[in-house]
Order: sequence, then structure tokens, then C-alpha cells
Amino acid sequence: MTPQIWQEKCAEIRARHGAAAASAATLADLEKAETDCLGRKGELTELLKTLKDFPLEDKKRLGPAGNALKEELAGLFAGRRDSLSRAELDARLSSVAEDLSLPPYPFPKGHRHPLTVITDSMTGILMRMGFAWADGPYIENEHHNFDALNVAQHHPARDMHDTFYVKPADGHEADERLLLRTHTSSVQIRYMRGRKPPVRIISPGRAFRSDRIDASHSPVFHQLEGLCVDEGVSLADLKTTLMQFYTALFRQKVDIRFRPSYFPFVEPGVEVDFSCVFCKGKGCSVCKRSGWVEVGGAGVVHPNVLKAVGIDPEKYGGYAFGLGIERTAMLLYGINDIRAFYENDLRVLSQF
Amino acid sequence: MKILYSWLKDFIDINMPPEELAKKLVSIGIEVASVEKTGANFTGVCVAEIQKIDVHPNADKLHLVDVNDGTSVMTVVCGAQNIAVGQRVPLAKVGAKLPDGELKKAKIRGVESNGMLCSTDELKLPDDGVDGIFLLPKDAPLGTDVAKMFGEPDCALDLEIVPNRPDLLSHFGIARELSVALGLPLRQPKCAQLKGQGEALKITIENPADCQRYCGRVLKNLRPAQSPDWLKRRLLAMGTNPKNALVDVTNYILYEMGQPLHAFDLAKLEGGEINVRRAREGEKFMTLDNKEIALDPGVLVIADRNRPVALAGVIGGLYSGIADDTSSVFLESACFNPPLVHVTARRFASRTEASKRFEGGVNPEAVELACRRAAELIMEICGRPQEDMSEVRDVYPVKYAPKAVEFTPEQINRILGTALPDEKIKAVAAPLSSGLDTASLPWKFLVPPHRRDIETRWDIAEDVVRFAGYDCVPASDTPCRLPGQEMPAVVEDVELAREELTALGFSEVMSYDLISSAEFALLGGDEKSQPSLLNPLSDEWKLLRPSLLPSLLRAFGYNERRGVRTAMLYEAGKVYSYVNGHPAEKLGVAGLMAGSYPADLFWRQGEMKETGFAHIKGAAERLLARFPGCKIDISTGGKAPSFMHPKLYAEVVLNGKERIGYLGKLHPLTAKAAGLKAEDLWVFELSLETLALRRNRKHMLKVDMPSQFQSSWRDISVLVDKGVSFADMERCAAGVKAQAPLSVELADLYEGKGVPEGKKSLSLRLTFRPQDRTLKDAEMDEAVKAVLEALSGKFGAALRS
Repeated sequence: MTPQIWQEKCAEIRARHGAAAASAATLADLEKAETDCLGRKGELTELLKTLKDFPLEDKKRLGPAGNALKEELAGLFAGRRDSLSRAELDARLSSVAEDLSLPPYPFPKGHRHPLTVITDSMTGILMRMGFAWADGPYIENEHHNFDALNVAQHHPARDMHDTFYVKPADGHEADERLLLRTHTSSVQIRYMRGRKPPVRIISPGRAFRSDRIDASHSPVFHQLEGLCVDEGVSLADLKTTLMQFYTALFRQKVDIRFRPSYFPFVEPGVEVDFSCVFCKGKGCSVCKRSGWVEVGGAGVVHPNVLKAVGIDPEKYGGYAFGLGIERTAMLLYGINDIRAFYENDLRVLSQF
Repeated sequence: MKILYSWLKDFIDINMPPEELAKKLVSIGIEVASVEKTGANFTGVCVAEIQKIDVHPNADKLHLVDVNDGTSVMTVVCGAQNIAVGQRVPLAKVGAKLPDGELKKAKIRGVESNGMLCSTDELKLPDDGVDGIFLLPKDAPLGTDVAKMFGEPDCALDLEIVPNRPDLLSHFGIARELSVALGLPLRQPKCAQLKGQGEALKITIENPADCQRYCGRVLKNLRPAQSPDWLKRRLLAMGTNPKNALVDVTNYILYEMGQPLHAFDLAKLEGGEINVRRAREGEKFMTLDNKEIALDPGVLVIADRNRPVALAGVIGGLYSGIADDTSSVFLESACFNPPLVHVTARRFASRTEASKRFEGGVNPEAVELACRRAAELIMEICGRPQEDMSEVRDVYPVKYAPKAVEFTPEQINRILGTALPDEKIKAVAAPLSSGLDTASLPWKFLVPPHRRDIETRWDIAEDVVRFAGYDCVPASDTPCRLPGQEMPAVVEDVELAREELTALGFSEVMSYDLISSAEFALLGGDEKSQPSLLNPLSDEWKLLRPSLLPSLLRAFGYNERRGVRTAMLYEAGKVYSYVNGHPAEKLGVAGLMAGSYPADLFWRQGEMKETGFAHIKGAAERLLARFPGCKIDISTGGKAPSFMHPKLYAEVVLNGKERIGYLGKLHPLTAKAAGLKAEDLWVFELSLETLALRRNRKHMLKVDMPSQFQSSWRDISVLVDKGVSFADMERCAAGVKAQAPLSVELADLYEGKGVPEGKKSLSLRLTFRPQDRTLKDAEMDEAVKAVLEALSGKFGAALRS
């Protein structure tokens, strides 16, 4: 065999077996084609064996070419094997028939109560604004709930709060009557007593009034109290604080309006309205076509309150506010009946 | 409080639409609950009689009605069903101006209508309760202008007056406030200051602190009369029914001037004297509304020589009351101590229009004027000469001393955060005062007698901003000092509980802290030893809850009645008890599971389980694991309370000694008593208060780095007696002396075929992981053998092959 014929044979094997590798339809066909070419008795193997009969000069030249061809063909067979086995696996996977529209696994889903959700939002904003959190008991005495808050014993303002009184244990009639706090403002007194300004707190929590129960009144309800006492604190600071608070809560620019009102522990006392975010002031059922929504009471801390806790009203000023938590949730979530918060209907709860 | 627009005009020349007036009132702090137009607010409507009714040719529900207005007969189309021939009805002719607009000629379903028969609603007259056309009296003359039958158009505003402004509880008071707000002159109530000549009664005030001023006047030989129509109309608009001229005038002055008056039948007063004194112990009194009450020295009374004839400022007595034929009266106008009136009114549950005003405090300086004006009005109506009237007897032991409040404009601005110029503050404050001295600093504000609420410069700041407008308060950019960011620890603990339970799939509920006796009875126990309300709203909300369980059952019940079977609920809230005789509140958390897990319905049936003890125990343990430093034992075998299942019950014990809660199955009878259909309810309740107290607050997480050596495990199956507890076996296996397993997990529990009667088979997975090496097979064999020996020694456990 001349080197030239040897090379022609190589080219012929390359063409024929390369085609066989590419056209093998099954792994078995491919196996056979590969053995025919590269097996112990394969055509290329046999051809390579003949190299030993060539002169050294030719061996040096033909040897590497022959090995390169062997590698190339081995690569072609391996490549074809990969694609055939992938196709075979795909065919097997494709035979799986499962209805993927079936309901998924019902991991039990828990929900926070809407009042927890709204309280979290409100306190979150106010704490980022630098308010600390203070807490107070539900069972209060008249001093913390009324007297220290400038609501005198026989002042008609006490009638504004229909108070639940708590029965003392037999044989333990206390000097002072105990009650369920009618507002979170009692925390003002508990917190300020024994502290020096600056004071800057919020106190969200329950309050109780023996109101009739209807769509907008509940004997148990929640308020968020705010209090800030320091030198030079004024009504204007209150306005800014509430404006920033509502702007953050409603995630849009909100204006604040004050209307004169009366709460014994603030003077001046105001009702706070915010510009209706639901209709942008155009008038809707939420704002009763006024463009403003009432959210709570506020004002400048009454000098008598500061005096009651030993803070000098000549030196320090302050503001306080009390926001209705249910009311805020009702506005924000479009709930039209306060009773919904205490019925605990899972159809409502599961939306939170 | 109702205010009539037309009545205000007696004192101030307002000339603005009622809606605008309402806005102005709101802007100065007087809430307006409603604005109601009264009287006839229409023209061109006359009385007509129905003569004939035919069916409309093109519409079954409409009629063609022939009506006669006295001069002509015309046909109108009418849809109302309450009409009949012979009725007299209001006919609006074409061109009539109705409250909703002008009436035009119209074709209705092809037939021309020459007018319209009107309902009360269409005329905006008070509802007559009739559905359809407004039926007029049979004797109303045909052709009469209906507007004339209902008086001038007017407007009643319903105002809400804050408790510190009793001076606004009258028409004159509102007019006075408006005169400042609008800058309009104010007219005083009409009074000719007539001198009287008749005999007066002797008036004695026992203690000037109880009664600052008392004026009385005697009116004799009165002609019993009804009030004139204008007065009756005004009283009716206030919601007060006219009785007779004497009573009506006292009521009228109350609404006009805010000064309550009382008229006594002179003939019934004994001894020619009036004593303002405390009641004597046990003294009896019959009220006007016929109730006998026993008095004591806590009550201020008006008495004649012998007995009380009125509870001062609250209510008159039956015995000296005015009858329709009363011809001589003693007229009282006084200023009583507000707290005294408040206490008396509350005590006898008789809050009257009068007591409401006394409680706030009336203007002592206006007491005499009210007395004179009322007397003159009575004399005018009852048509008597001056001779029958005594002079006003005025006892005024402690004269009103005008109070001065000092302030500087700078102080006002500091309270408000404003920069109002001195001139502005002066212009607003001056008309509110009885005199404002601005000659030097501080300024002196003389408080007028009707403004008892003004005591300090803060009150003046409020009035300044009220009348200057709240818009003058800017948004400030004062930097604030930030005190520390503290947070009550317990808030974090509640948050932990919420986080864990919500993640487990529990939904949070919120309930009233109040429960009924029936709910209390679910738990057993003595109601008397539970804190309760002295003045509950109703029996339903009476006791402070001792446990969160009744609340959860109520919440579940609400949902069960709406078809819910599967639910996971929890509540974090306060529970109450007496501690050392004092009502105390403690924070708790409780959960309830009902129905199936993970859901009510699941198509992979094999994965669905009825909720059981394992579920509720798992939830409780997961929650408890959130409190570091709290070693928890779930202790079984204790005696269950009567509301729980006697066997499926365990107690939660903290650090080996403190019982902090329980878990298990609710007794089926408890569920039944709570009105529930479900019998399988699983609950836990824990004292969050105790956990919060005992947990290690300084705990910082330190990561336990895993061994670099492989752990290895072996499963063994053992047979033991049915009564052996897994927890005991686990403790025993984990406690072997040699190489103790890192964990002992229960891989399977089996009873039944192949397992002898009275035995159970447990498959345990023992995992070993020494810190310093991986166990060799032989060592593993040794270790497992040690565990087996321990188990068989203690429980007679046999290896199951």
C-alpha cells in the first residue's frame, strides 16, 4: 500500500463512517456503527494496524493523521450518542401525563388581624419618626384616666366618656374607683411622671366605653396616643408631625386641617382632618363630599396636665394626639362596620 | 341642641344661606349635625279637591285625575295609589316653584298634565307617614295657598356644643359667638325693665357656695292662657311641646338666653318664703313625673317654709307644679353650683335641659335679666297690669368678680407656633373680652362672665386661633430632640407569638375583654371571684374574661355558623383575675384547631388528617421554642379541669416548677355548651406574661458549629407494652452511659397484625455524631447495643426482627 492509497482510504472511512454516525437512528444502530469503525476489528482499527508496514519516514507523517482521524470519529460517535440518549430520555419524560392545573398543596396560611396590620403600619411610621413606645394597663384608676388629665370630678366632660367601672373584690373596696381606661391618654400621665422632657412617645392600645354598639361604636376599641413634650413645642409641630405621618401612611401627599374642638387635657384642642385621599378633594362618600376626613383629636398639652406630672408648663410645651385605629383601618381598607373587627369572620381575616 | 335661623335674627342681622352659616359655625368649633329646612319652601301650590279618577289610556299604573281648585277644573296625571274622589290635596300648578325646581307643563305617556298632586316629600314638609299624595284636612278651603298653612320658610340647625362652653347652649349665646366671628353688632334680649309693686317672697340662701345668685319674682292674678302661635312654633322647633303660657315662657327663655327658669304655683308655697338649702336626712320629695324619692344633705333643694318644692336646677316637685289654671306664680331664676346639680341629676337619672345648663355653669350676671324678661313676657301674654307683679327679689351674696388673664402676644405665638402680629392678636382677642388692656406687657384680658372656661393664656390662644383661623398655623420645621427609643419588652413578646403562630397557619382574632355569665360558666368556677363590671352594658358583656378560651370559642362559633369546619385561630390578649383582692390583668395567648389538617378538603386524601393532639402540641412547642431561657415540659397525667378532655390533656410547665398553661382536647360537653357543632376542638392557652417575665432577655444567638465528621444513624424496631411512654423511652435512650445518641427520633409506631396483643412496635432512628470522629461499624454496633440494653432493662423492650 502506498502512503497515497492509505490516505485515500482514510478519507473514504471518514466520509462513510462519519455519515453512519450522523444517521444512526437508535443507540443500538450507533453502537453497531461505532464497532464497525472503531471496534477491535473495526475498519479504522484495521487500517491503523497497517501503519507498522510503512517506512519510518511515512509512519512519522501518517501516524498522527491516523490518530487524529480516530479521535475525530470517536468524537462524532460520542456526540451522536449524547443527542440520541437525550432524545430517548426526553421521550420517556414526555410520557408523563399529570394535570398540572390540580390545586396545589394547601399549606395552612395564617393571617394577622386587620387591627394588628394597621397598628404595625402606624407604629412603624411613628417609630421611624423618633417616637418611643410606651404601654399602660387597661384597668386604671380615676386619677390616671381623669383627674390628672384635667377632667375634674364633676366636670360634664366626664360624661363624654361613658365609663365602665370595675368591681373590687369583696372586702377590698379601694379608696379610688377602678375603671377600664376610656382612652389611651392615661399613658401620658404614667409615662411623664418621674421623667424629664424631652418626651416623645406613642402608645397604641385598647380603650373601653359603655357606648351603644352599632356600625361605628364598639365598647372595646383601639386608639393610638401620641405625646411630645419639650421646650418650644407648639401646635405647628403637631401639624407637621401629623402631615408627615399621614403622608407616609397613605403613600401620597396629605394635608392636615385643624378644627376647634374640646378635650379637657389639651388647650387649644382640635379635631384633625386630613385631605381626602380617596377622591383627591373632589368629594366622595368617605369624606361626605367635604374633601376632608376626620381622624381624631389632638391639641397642645394642657398646662394642668404638665403640672399634674411635675413638669413646668412655663418652660415646656407639648402636643398630644389620639387617633382611632379602627377608624383608620376602616378608611384604609374600606370596611364599613366597626363590628367586623370583632366578629372575626375568616372570610374577612383571610384577606389580610 | 336645635337652633332656629329666624330666632338668631332676633339678636344679630345675619344674612347668609343656612349652609354657609353652618360652615362658619364649624370653623369656630361648633359642630353642625344637621341643617333642616322647615316651613313652606314653595309657592304656587293650592288646595284642590279630587272630582274624578280615570285610568291613564297608555299606562296601567297612572291615573288621570280631575281636580277642582275652587275656580276651575283641570286634569293632571298622577301615579299615586292613595287617592280617592272627594279628597283635598295640594295641587302644584304649572309655574309653581317647588323645593326641587319649577314645575313645567309636561306630557306624560301622551297625555298632557296641567299640574301635579304633591307628596310631603315633594314639598319637603315633615313626613306624614303616608305613602303617596299628602292628604289635607277635609275642611281646607279650596284654592287656599298651601304655603300659608305651614308658616314661613325657616331653618333648624342641630348643633353639638362641647361641655366647656355652656354659654353656647342658647340662641343668644350662639348669636354672641357669631357676632365676634362675623364682626356684626349684637342686640340684647328685649326687656323693658318694668318695675314691680306687688308683694315679694323672702329668699334665703343657706350657703352661698351652693347658690351664687337667686332671683325671684311673684306674678299674681294671671289669666290662664295658651302661648301665642309664634312662641308655640319656636318651642315645637326645639322639640318641646307647648303646655301653657307660664311653662312655655320658662322654656322659651331657656332656649333663648340659656338661663333655666322655674315657675312655682304661688298658692302651694307655704310660709311666704323660699329657702335654698341642703335637704335633710330622709326628707321625701315627689317629682313632677310622680316619683317619690328620699333625699339627704347631698342634695340642694328649693324649699318653702315646710318642705322641698324642687331639686335645685334639676326638676320641680309635683306638689307646687304649674297647672293650666294656675293664676299666681313665683318665678325663679338662679345660678347653682355646677357639681351639685351634676351629682343630683345623675343620682336621680334626671338630666334635663335645665340641669344640662347648670352643670356647665350659667352666667350669674344674666340671672336677673332672664327673670325680668320672662316676667314681662308672661304679663304680656296673660294681659295683666304691672301692679300684679312684685319687684325682682335678687339675692346675690358673692358678686361676680371679673377675672383677668395675663399674656403676651409672644406667648400666644409660642403655644401656636405662629407668627401673628400683635395687632392681629389684639383685634381677635378684644371682642372676646370684657376689656383688653394692651397698654403694657403683659396684656390683661378681662374675662366676660359668660366665659367661665377661660382661665389661662392657653385658653386665650385657643380663641385667638379659633377666630383667626387654623390656617394661620404653619407646618414647622423645628428639629426635635430625640429621647431614647425604648419599647416595652412585652410588645416584642406579643410580636414573637404573632409571628410564630401566623407562620404556622393560625389566623389572629380579636375579641372583647368582656364575656357573659354563660361564657364564664363554660370554664367552671365561681363568678363572684372573677372581676366584673359595676355597670355593664348588658349581661352579654359583664365579666372580664379569665381566659382567652371563651373568646376563641365565640370566634369559632361565628365562623362555624357560616359553614366553616376547619380553622386555626389564635388570640393574644389580656385575661383578668383578682390578685390579693385587686383586679389584675395578664397577657395571654391561646390557639384553637378544628377540622382537618392541612385543609378542609384536599384531593390527595392520604395526606389529610383530622386534627389531633400531635397538631396542637406541635403548635404550642413551636411557639414556646421562641422564648430563650425557658425550659418547657409538657407534663401529662395531671388532672384535667372540667372543661377539658380528662385524658387528652397536658400541662405546660416552665423550668420544672411553674405551670404556665395547658393544651389538649376540649371536653365535648364544653363545645356543646358553647353552642358548637364540632366535638373535636384542640386548644392551647399560655401565660405570655410569665414567659415574658422568665425569658432570657440578654440571650444572644451563638451558633453551634456542626462537626466536620459525618453523623451516622441506625433504625431499630422494638416491642414494648402499650402503656410505655415514648418520652420515657427517649429519655432513657439518650441517657445511656456509653456513646449516647445525638437524637432519638420516632420513625414509625405500629400496633395490629403481627404485633402481640397489649404491645406496640416502635421504630427508632438513633443518630450518632461524636465531635471528634466518625463511628466505625463496630463502635456503632456497641452503641446501639447499649441503647437496646437500657431499653430492655427499663421497659422490657424486645428487638423486633
